[in-house]
Amino acid sequence: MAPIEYIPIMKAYYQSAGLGDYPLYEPSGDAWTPLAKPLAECHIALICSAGISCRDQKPFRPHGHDDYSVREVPVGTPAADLTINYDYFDHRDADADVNVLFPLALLRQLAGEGFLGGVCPTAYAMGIGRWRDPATPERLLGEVAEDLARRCREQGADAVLLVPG
Amino acid sequence: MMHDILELNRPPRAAFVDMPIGHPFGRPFDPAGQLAVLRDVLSLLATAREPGRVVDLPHGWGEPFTFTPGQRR
Repeated sequence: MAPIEYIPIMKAYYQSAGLGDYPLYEPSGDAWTPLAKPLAECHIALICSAGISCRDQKPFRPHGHDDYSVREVPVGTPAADLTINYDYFDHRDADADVNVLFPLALLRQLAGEGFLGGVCPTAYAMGIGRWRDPATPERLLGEVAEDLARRCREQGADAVLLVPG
Repeated sequence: MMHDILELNRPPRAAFVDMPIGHPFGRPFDPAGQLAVLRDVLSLLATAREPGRVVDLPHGWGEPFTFTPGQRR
């Protein structure tokens, strides 16, 4: 099965929904840092943009837009304490088993097996929503990304696993 | 999940699995399958040699699926 072409679908959807042009990001160059140590020695930070939050945190808006806020999810958070706030995609399977989307427990397992050196103590969840503000791409790639990178570095992250929503 | 968007965005390391949106690590209650995807994704940290290349991982949904924005499967 050929991969679904999401860009034309989203472009048509944005136009039909009166949202204007579907915002697409094209980098001006390539970011690259070689891994400095074996994977089994690396600490991994998890960042997910699928609108997940802990049940005791302020939820993301189900149809939110231009939301730059970040939820901190402690690495030991039980699956039952997590909830998906988004209404942009079908997350019934993830509601039943959050590991299909937010693999925090799986990362802990891999660290326990020695496949990874460890998992950073805090994972980060975002629920940006639709991009309606023209300033959103620049803010996300600038101040938001820089803040998340700083937080990950402060936790001793060697690499980050980015999971889209 | 979104091959064409990954090709456009060119992250340092990118793994594609042919799964519906919301299922980057596969089906629910399939820990073996989920771990297999995660191991392969993380292995790219060590095996990738250049940025911007989307690696197609051998993990798929196993049946056809479609995508309609805002609609459930």
